[in-house]
Amino acid sequence: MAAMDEVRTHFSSYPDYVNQQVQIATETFTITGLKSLINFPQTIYMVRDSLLTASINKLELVEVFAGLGQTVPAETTGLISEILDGMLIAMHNASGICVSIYPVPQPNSRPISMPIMENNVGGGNSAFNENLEANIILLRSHLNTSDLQMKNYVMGNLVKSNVVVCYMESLIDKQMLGNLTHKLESKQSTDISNIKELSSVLEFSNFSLVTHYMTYELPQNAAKALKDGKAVLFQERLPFAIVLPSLISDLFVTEDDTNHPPIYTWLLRSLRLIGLLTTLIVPGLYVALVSVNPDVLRFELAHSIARSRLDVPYPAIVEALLLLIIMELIMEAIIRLPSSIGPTVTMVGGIVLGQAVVDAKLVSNLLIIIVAAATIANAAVVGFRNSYALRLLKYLLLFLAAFLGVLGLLTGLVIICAYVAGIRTLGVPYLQLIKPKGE
Amino acid sequence: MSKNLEVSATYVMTHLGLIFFLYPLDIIESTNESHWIPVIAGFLFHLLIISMYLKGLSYFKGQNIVDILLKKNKVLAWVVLFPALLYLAWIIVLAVRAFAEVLSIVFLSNTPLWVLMLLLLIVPGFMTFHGKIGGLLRLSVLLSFLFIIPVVFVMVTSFQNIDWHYLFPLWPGHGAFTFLTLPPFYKSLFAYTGGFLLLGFLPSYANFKPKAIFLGCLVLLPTYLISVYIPVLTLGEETARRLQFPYLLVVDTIEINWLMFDRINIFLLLSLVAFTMFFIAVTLWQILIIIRLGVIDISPNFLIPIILLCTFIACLFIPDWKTADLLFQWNIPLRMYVSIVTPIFVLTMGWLHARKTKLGLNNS
Amino acid sequence: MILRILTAVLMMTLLSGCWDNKDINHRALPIAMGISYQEGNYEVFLDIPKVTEKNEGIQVISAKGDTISSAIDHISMNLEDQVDLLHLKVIIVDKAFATRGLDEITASIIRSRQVSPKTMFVICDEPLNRFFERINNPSNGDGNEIYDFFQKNAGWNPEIAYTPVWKLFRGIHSYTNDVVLPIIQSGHSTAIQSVGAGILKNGKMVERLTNEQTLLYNVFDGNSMQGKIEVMGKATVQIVNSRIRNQSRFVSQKPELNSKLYLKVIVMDAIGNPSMEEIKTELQGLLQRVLNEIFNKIQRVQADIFGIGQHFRDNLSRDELAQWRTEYLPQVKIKLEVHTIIRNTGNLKLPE
Repeated sequence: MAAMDEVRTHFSSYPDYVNQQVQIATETFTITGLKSLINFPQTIYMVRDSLLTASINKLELVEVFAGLGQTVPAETTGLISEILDGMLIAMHNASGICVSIYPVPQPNSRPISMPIMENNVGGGNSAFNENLEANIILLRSHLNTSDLQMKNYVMGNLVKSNVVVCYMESLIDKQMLGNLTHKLESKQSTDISNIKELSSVLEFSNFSLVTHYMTYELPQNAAKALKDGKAVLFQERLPFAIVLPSLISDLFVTEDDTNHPPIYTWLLRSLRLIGLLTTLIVPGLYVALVSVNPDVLRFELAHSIARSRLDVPYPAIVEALLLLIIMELIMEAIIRLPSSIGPTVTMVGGIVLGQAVVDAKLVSNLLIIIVAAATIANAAVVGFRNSYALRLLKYLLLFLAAFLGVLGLLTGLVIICAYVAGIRTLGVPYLQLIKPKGE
Repeated sequence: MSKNLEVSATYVMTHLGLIFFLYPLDIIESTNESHWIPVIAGFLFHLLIISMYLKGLSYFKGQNIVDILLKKNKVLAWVVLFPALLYLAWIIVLAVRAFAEVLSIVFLSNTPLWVLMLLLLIVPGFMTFHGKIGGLLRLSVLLSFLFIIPVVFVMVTSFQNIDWHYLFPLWPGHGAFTFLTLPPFYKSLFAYTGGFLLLGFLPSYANFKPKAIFLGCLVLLPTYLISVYIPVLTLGEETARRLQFPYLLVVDTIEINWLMFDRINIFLLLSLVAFTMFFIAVTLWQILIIIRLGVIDISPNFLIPIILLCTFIACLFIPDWKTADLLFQWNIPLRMYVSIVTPIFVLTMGWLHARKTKLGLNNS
Repeated sequence: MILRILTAVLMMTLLSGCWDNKDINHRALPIAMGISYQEGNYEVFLDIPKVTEKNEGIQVISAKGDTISSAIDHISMNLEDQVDLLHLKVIIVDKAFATRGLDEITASIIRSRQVSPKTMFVICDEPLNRFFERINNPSNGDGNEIYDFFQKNAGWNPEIAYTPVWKLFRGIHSYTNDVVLPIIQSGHSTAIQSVGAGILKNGKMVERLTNEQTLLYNVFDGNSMQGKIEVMGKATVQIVNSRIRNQSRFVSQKPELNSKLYLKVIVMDAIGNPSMEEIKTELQGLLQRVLNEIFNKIQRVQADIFGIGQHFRDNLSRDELAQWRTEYLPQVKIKLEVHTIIRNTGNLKLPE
């Protein structure tokens, strides 16, 4: 009883704390919980109903009561944490037995809905949302097998949050799994509320340019990753699955491809590869050809480029940087803007600004085409986390091209290749196609 | 896990970078006609040494050459390892210096040489430092995926202006083997011996079948022939021998109307620069292994910058192309020593090792 | 690590500047260069298309100097842009220079990387200053005529010889190959007019061919391309396909070449009412006559423009081959057979 009083004092300032007495026959029960997490009327009805039935049938009330949930010791901190987890605590006043009952929860999440960041053409459309259980249901319905293992980790001291690791027992690389679980277990006291904290638990470098994990909103993508032997992490309140490790093929391959005939699958994938190379190379190529190696171009082309740059007052690199940065600003601004204003900004940025900037002879009109091509191509790559890397790396090529011309461009490409070839995630090299394997 | 593809890609790439620059001229200088004889002779020599080397290494599963040698007899080991170390250091310096000069001639005439040399050192340094050997092996596949297409395209189009009559006579009237007495032939062996030592430096997880390497060789053979025969067939032997880089000039004569680019050789050259950077990175790795396992175990964080700095300083001491060429010639005896003694030594040791274990098995 | 490299690269770019960085609109890109030689002095003309909004015409600049490069430097100094010979397409030399020998200029072009070895060599039949003055006439067009004139996918015709620098270079050093260069002059109704070709032996002009001879030279050299027209007394035909088969042998120490030329033609015009057979025999006779004329010419001046010596590489040792032009070429017996097939006669029938 003393424990219950302490619990009450602890929660006394909480507006959503409920403490209620229920009388069944001769026995009194105290029921407490947070009404923000628990649907009280239904839950109390559920508890009372079973107790009343028992008393009518002349059964031993206390035993039935203990059978309603899990008996927990009447100890303050334990009870508080149960209540915070959203459980209903009921106590038999006479004997002091405490039971933690799984209640009818308050809905705290949107229903399963369409994906926001991932569009797909041929496959299912229900996406993960913020609710961990709903996510696991979705995944299970896509992967109905006993091979699917799930491990729950409660992370954090101050703020607790759940991280669920799913993997296929028979398919995953054992060493990688060992690495992953070891890291999660050894840092269980770290609070995790965002992806950055999760990556620091998994010891990913802060300076890594290429993402070590993919995030998928669509359960079929997560299921495919599991079948390929990757691990899928769900973190509470994140509306997507985190797939570890990411491989280079994640730039080109989505599960949605397999819903098309194989020829189109491969054509689409090669299109993405072309997109990747275009967005990386084209701005740098423009600068290299215009300012360092014009001999590489055909004469006709060189002449017409020279004409289009006639009154542009600064070197090609400055010209390109100017326009590229405006482009980046537009892309960033569109995320912030409400969707009703977004199209206006696109129009102002794309058409008005583009046309005006050419008319004002600030950039050559060829460059407008180049920047547009690079931006469009950037979007062809799968996964927005990957497109960040490309957006940044094209500047490396741009500077090197201004410095050394086409040779600089090549050097940049080689550096990127070397960088990509050297990356490892949890001991698994990034440069692999389908199944992640250790070295 | 088998790494056949990665190892043979590494093997092909390290050689491709060396073929198109100096090799054609050396072969053309070594004989007046029937250039295929020195090419095939060099190729057979190459096959011989790598098959001995591979056979020798196959007796010691998963060990690298430094471990194998040092475990037996320290003095004997250094008879092999020291010249190898010296040779590797020498070719890094020469490769960097020579390629910087080529880049300066072809692309960037105003850019100072030290910038190009620094570029050719820093990028391979980054490859080795960031990727280690696993990264290098994977890099080879990625680079060949990206750059083999342009190289093959250029090789195919370079047949545009050939005149088959220059092929004749197929068999020289007299002195078919006089090339064996001329230094240019031995200089040309550089294209064969530059990368083969690597096979002994692979880590234990990179298993490969010797067949993969021999397939790689088979891919290289047409390249050797094309690099020599395209200039000869297009320009004639008398003209080709006047050029510093015959193959590059011939590629410059290709005309393709539908391409937006005027100079096709840029594709070839850029791909070759990538391969060369890779070659330098691989050589750097070998030096690193010898020093770390054989001399003193320093962290690569310090060792790689030190090696790069030494190489850079050594490169700065080579004033002109002529000196570089002379150094190539002086390098011949060392190269022959390394490429003949190392495989034989490894083979003998492997053979003795195998006999010993067999005896050991019989006794027990 | 990659960040460190990035910053290092940035620092290098910012601190040391970009050595080869020069924007394309600040480079003067000449498409044609004229070189005339007078008593130890070179006069160089550069034909630079004007880079303006409306694409109007060309700019011709000339300078004199002891060497070609000093003359070019002179121009570069006085011009607002830097002269870049990277896109040079045509080099025009005057007759005096061609007769004196083009070996040095060829060598220096091959040596420098600036000028592409694909650049065309052309001989001009009139003084260069007059030639450039006349093609600079704005009424002639956009100023690229001289470039388009020799473009295989633009204005080039099979009557015009086509010889890039690398072929001339090969001709100078090879034992068995000589070249012909086109000869042009400024025209009356068009900007440029072709007036045949010059035979160069070891880089020196020794003889000339007419337009008609150049055409047949191109046909025999397997260089005819399609769509060219051939005139004679009875008809005009277009060659659609040509193939040559050569057989070389030594008959009593003398080289002998049996050539069979297979032609496929279509009839374009018929004058009078000739039969197929008549056209065939007439064509064959004409070809044989003109080609024999050319053979006689080259044997007289000892310039092997057909590469006849190539066919004897297997029969001669290298030392003998080195003597090919002087010892063997004048003695070669060339037997030429022409076989023609008239593939079709267009929409009209011809009498059998």
